[in-house]
Parts: sequence; C-alpha cells; structure tokens
Amino acid sequence: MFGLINRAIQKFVQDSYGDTKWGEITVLAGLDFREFESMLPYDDAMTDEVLRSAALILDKDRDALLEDLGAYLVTHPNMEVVRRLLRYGGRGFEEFLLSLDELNDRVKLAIPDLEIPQIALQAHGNGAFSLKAVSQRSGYGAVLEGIVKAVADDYGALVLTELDSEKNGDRITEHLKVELLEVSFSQGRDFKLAGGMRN
Amino acid sequence: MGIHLPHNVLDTLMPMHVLVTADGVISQTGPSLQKITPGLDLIGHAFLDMFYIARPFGVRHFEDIYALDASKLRVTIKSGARHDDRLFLRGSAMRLQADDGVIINLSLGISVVEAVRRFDLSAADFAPTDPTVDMLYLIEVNNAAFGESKKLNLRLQGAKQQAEEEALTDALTGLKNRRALDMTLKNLTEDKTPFALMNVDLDYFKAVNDTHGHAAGDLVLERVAEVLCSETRSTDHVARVGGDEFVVIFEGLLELEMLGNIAKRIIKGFEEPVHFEGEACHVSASIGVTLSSFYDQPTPDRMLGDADAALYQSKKDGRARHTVFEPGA
Repeated sequence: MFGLINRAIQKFVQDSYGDTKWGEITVLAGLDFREFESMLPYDDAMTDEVLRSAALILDKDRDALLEDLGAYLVTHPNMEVVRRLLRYGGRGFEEFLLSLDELNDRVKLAIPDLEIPQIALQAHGNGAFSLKAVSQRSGYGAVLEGIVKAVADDYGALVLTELDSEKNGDRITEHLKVELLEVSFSQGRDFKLAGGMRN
Repeated sequence: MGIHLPHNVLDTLMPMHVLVTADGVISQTGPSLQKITPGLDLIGHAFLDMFYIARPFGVRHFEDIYALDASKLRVTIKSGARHDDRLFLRGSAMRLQADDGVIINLSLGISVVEAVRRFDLSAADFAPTDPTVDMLYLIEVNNAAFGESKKLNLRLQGAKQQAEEEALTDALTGLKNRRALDMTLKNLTEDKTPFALMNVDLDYFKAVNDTHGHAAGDLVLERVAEVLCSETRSTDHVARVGGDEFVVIFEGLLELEMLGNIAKRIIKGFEEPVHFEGEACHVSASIGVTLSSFYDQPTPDRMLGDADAALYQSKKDGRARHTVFEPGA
C-alpha cells in the first residue's frame, strides 16, 4: 500500500483520538516505527494490521472507522489540500459526483504510484446515483461514503447514502448508493481556485 | 453563408473573446475578459488603444490584424499610456465575413496562475472544455506531492546525519573513528586496564596528495590501514583520528622492546610503495608511544598529549622512526 494511505490513517487517528492512541495502535499492530512516510511503499498486510488494531483500540467497527476517515480527509483543516483537490471535480455536487468517474485518472496523473480502485458512476434519475468500486480488498467503499457525505456538506447539498458489498472470488465489489435530496440545502463552503497557490 | 452566434454562445464557448468592427472598434467582450480588466470600459474603444500586441512585431494599425489570420498573438492590456507587463495574454484573431470585422479569442496562457490569484477567478470563468482548471489542479497537487517528497528528503537527511554522528567506524578505512577511540580510552583508563598508546602520523602524505591527487591519497590511506591491522593483534584497537593520523591501543602490552619492534614493522610496511596509475607513491611514519604504567592516574587527554609530544620528537629527529615518551623528562 502506498504510504499516503497509511499516513492518512495515521493522521486521522492522531488528529481525532490523540497521539497516545496512535502509539497504542502501532504497538498492537507490531510496527517498529510510529510515522508512516507518504511517499514510500509499504506492505499491504501492514495496512490491514493497522486498521484491525485501530478498530480494537478505538472500539469501533472497521467500516465506521473508514467512513470517519473519509469525512476527516474532507473536513479537517490539516487535510485542506485533499478537500481542495476534490472540489476541483466540479462547480456543484452533481458535477462532483460525475467527476468521480475520472478520480482514478486524476490520482494517476498526480501520483502514479498511488493505486485506488476504478470508480464507476451510474445515474438513475431523480437525483439517485450509485458508485461502484471494485478491488481486492474491502474498505474503499466506506472511505468513499465518508468522503461523499462530507463533500455534499461542503457544497451545501443534502444526501442520503447506503453501502453494500459483494464478494466474487478475490474481487470485492462495493456499491454506494447516493440519493441527492437537495442540491442547495445549506450555504456550502467557499472554494477559490487561487486558494491553494503559494505566493 | 456564415453562422450567426448569439451573445451567450460566444460568452460560454469563448469567455475571453473580443469582437472588433471593421474599423477597429471593440463591440463586444466575453465575461471573463471583463473580469480581468476591472475598471476598464472596453466597448466603444479602439482595440489597439486598449490592447498592445507584443507579438508579432509591428502591429500598429488595425488593418495589420487582417493580415494575421490565425497566427498566435501575444497581447497585453493597456492602461493609459502603459501596458500591463505582468499579464501576457495569448490570442488568435480570425476575420469574420466581408465587413463584419474580426473576432479575437484570448486566453491566459502561461500567466494563468498569476491571473487566477489577482482577479480571483473561479472555474466558472473558464470554458467547460478548457483544461486550464485541470492544469491548476495539477499545479496544486504537484506542489503538495513535492512538499511531501521534500519533507521525506529532509527527514532522510537528518537520519543520515544522525547515523554518521553515531557511527564508530571511519568510512574510508573501516578502522575505528575518533568517537570510538575516545570511548575505548575512557573505558580502559576507568577500568585501570594497562595498555600502550601509539600515535602514528604519516610522513610525506601531503606530497602524495599534491602530486598524484586525492584518489592516490585515499589508496595510500587504505593501504596503511591494512598494514596497521596486520601488524597488530585482533584485541588491539586501531583508529583513524585525522586525515593522516592514526592511534593504536595495545591492551595489556607494556613491553617497550616489543612495541619498538611493532613500530619498526609498521614503518617498514608504510614505506612499501603504493602504485597508483603506474606511479609509485612513497610515505613513511613518525610514531610516538606512551604507556599507562607511566602515570599514577592515566587520563586519555594526558596520554594522547604525551604520545603526541613523543611523535613530534620523532619528526624532529628526521621522521620514519618511533620515540617513547619519557615521563618526568
């Protein structure tokens, strides 16, 4: 697993539950270090072990934890860069959903080593959408659910989501249903193109 | 037969267009162009009064533009007698039918980052097909990724520095380094273990470096390190403490005659010429010796100082020899 993903989990735990909890998780997971490096690759099993340990120590189930991670990536001030990059997806929430088709390509363009599943969007009319992610491991769907809900808030839209998954051999297909109830439910957060540039 | 395009079509497809009449007067502009020319009233003014065409050269009259069909323009915005040389626009001009004038489509080109910041542009200010917003995305993601890589490099550099500081061996020769020597000396003096201390300084080493270069010098250092190791026991400690300075500690050895023989063999070994690129490099050694038994309370500093004094006596006496420190002399 590319370090950015492990580092995101680390930062999420540290920023949400404190450094002590993160320390306990690394010990339980059998890591001989505490800091993941964003730009280095790590063994996949390590990520699974960290998530398993985090679920135990934080007393949350894995999917709930991953959904919170998705929300954290969009809402926490330390992760502003992620929110900005996602908001590049479109001028409104619907356009953002449509842009998720391109998310994999965007990620590849940005960081070729970072592998995330291909996400396919289907529109069912009347504000109903479904997102399909196929990969070798479960969990991306829960992160995506957290991201989608938080981005909806960011745009000021109101959505309902529902996640389910099916296993087919070693392939796991996760379906995220998104129902867009109201496009402009509240005043969203501002997004300025110039906001992310350095002087 | 041409096509007639209503205002909003041009505004959406080309948000930075300018329509200019046949006599060179601006008749219409796109909404994004208005946004980057705040306070300027473009419509009704002569195009060349409002814009300066930097490339191609020599466009002074509007009729000149007719000759430029489809070529790439570099344009800046004029403000009074001055023009904005921080913002260069890219453009292309196409002549419309017969007497309808010219349409000039402008874009921010490479000035886009500057313009987005200065005029607070949003995605809506670009045509939906324009990949500029994707370019901004890439610039931003690139900055973020580059920032992460830079942090990693800094951390690795720090770790390397720390590892070097904590290292106990000399990188070139594999011998112990100054730090390791200091630790050994401290332990031996604290434990009151008897030992002999030998300071070894290369003679003529500077000449080798000056004549044959540093690569030859390094080869000589590696060679003398081998000599020092082969002429000492595995329980002895050999350290490189400076460019061409070495220290040998003989644990449990206080016999001056045996130490004298070892010193002679070391000097002989050092004097074997080292061949570098077909040329022989010659060095020798001056040696100073002291024994822990010379002192009531041996300390590393004092013993190193006394061995040095003996070494300088060897140098003074003509080099290539060893001298034993004389306590009380």
